[in-house]
Amino acid sequence: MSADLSADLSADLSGAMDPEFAELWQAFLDGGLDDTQVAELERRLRADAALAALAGERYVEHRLLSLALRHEPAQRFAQATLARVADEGQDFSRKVQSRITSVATLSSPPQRQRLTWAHYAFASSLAAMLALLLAWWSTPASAAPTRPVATLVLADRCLWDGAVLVPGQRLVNGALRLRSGTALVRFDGGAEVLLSGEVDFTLESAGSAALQMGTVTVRANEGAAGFILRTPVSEVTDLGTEFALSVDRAGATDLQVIEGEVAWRGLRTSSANSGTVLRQGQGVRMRSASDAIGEVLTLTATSLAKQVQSLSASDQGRLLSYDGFDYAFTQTTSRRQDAAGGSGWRAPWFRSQVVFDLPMDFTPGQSLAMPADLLPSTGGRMDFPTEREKPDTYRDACMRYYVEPIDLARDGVRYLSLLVQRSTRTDGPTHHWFRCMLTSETVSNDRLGFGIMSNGCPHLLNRFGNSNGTVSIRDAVPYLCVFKIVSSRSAPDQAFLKLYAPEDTVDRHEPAAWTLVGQPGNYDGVLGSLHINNGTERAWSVDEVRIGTSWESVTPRANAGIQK
Amino acid sequence: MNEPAAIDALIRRAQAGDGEAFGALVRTFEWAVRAWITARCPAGADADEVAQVTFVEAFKNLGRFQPGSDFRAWLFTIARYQVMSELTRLRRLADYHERYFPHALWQELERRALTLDDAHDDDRLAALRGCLSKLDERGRALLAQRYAEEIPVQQMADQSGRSVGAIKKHLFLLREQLHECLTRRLANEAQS
Repeated sequence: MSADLSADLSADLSGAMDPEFAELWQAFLDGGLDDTQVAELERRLRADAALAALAGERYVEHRLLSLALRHEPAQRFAQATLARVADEGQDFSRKVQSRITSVATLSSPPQRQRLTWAHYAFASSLAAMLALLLAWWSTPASAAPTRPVATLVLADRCLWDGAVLVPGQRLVNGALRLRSGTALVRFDGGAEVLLSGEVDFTLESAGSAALQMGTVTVRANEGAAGFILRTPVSEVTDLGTEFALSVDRAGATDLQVIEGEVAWRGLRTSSANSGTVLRQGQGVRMRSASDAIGEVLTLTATSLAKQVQSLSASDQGRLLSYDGFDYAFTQTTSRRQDAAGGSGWRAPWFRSQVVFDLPMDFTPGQSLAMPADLLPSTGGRMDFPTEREKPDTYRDACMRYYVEPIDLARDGVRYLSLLVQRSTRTDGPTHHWFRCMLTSETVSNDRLGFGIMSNGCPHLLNRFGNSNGTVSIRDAVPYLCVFKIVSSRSAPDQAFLKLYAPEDTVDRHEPAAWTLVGQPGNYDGVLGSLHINNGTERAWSVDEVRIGTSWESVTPRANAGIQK
Repeated sequence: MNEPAAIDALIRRAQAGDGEAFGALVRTFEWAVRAWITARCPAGADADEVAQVTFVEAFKNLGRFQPGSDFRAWLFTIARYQVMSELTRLRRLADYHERYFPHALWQELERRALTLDDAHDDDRLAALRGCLSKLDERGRALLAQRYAEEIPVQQMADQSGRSVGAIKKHLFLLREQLHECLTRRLANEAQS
């Protein structure tokens, strides 16, 4: 520390920060917080609002330091920003036709234009382009480069105009026309929109959409604040809320607030006007874009949750393959064909080194427990013992071919779930991992899967780069793993993983947040077999393997329609 | 350049298609927007990306802006939505990340993102730069390694031959001194 600091840097640190909190805070800012410390920091902040506000202030300073200390050429930001405006203008001028397709870049954010020097060349031509662009962009429904902005979560007896869409599929910005049925769309910004009946809708971005005609119900939780929905006459902005919006063929808009607050304004009212705030139970009809007041409506809308509950289970996907390991024996050696239980498989289980006729292990009558809300496990479980005498670091995989292989060159969505439990039994210090892979029968290196690393943290395996978690599972505790693959003909394929501990509530529908999100990559193979294996020094167990076409099909509820 | 009449004139010119005028608007509000967004985005977010998108969105919607209204407030409303989207995107990407970011602090950031009253982080940034200039070379270099070059503390320790604990302590004291300096400067500015 320098001794020649000026007077206004002569800090009196004596009363600055409680030493214990200071230690946690410092570890948070500079790295090195463990789980226990995160929990303690959270507890302290939650217990003391003043401390939380102080932490907020300090965090602002922490973040501003990165800006204050950055050395960048003058004008760099402005020039790169203007170049980006020019870039987007070029995209626009190509008039890319928005369309709904299945795409698999999934939650990868839109391609981002960084602050690069290469942009500066564009900046010089900006002025000439601006006049044209402003004219285009003054039209509310301007076209934009296509990119995924939302996910179709549920579809009940849906008839789409010009597309066949299935739950789990990613939706790009552009028109979405529902002729009949009910569909739940989750925007990447967090808002959920339920479309009912005949609806003409436009997905604009992860946080905005336009409703040209029809009825929607929007739920935008705290984390999705700021979702904007435009109609021909109005702009509606959620303020942490649930609301219903109906637009008739003349463009007149009915807005009803089911919960929370909504701000609305007529499209031709002053843009400086942030809008009129409607509260829970209030409704308004807007007939024109210059309408600043509207007519009062009585609330008749039903909550999104109630509408979703009433959806038919018949359209919630198909369970393709299932095995609950209801086998009477503890090992298969000479009679491999015995391990042929369950349904939806093309062959019995076998070990990958089939020439040696390796046994597979089962524990009859002792299944792993499903999380409470789901259909309970039955039968026994499959076991993966240690095998230290083996010279390799891995045991040969237990494999099984399933019906309806996944063609990664086509548009599609597939889910796999299983229970996995790490034993306390070890046979060495190092090779403790578990792995579950879907492998290609046609392209040798094409495979996608997930696993638990030797340190207990989950990971997604992908030849374009693995994604590793940082929180370890616990020993002797069954975890439900739900794995999702989105394949695409024209865009990268991508995988996702969600882990649930027994005490977690399993999401009824596909979750907004995944435990791990895989790297996008282009595969062309056909994934037709399941490979499960483990490191030689740790025993594992697996149960309730399901492969299906929807989240719901592989996470059957205890009291719901899809049976195993 | 911050006079309302001058801003209004730039807006009208930009709405008529004058690219230079929009460029001038970007330069005028650059630091206010960047500072406000940076202050509300957690580490891991690309604050400059969010700031760029804010200006691009402003440009796309400029035709709807009513000259004579408060352009800064309008711009910050766009920035607020962009920050909220970024926070939501980060939260969605992987819930494991949240386990290393206290939820209560995340909520505090969201609360600040929803509040536009204290949208003068450019003043705070300027004051912070003033405080940094008072630091000795060694302190500034240490902070630059940590914040501008984003070098992990362990690596800083390896490179300097100091212990991790010593580096952390030094960073802590520098941050505390900057905080005191900043508080004093902002209070003086408020009085004057």
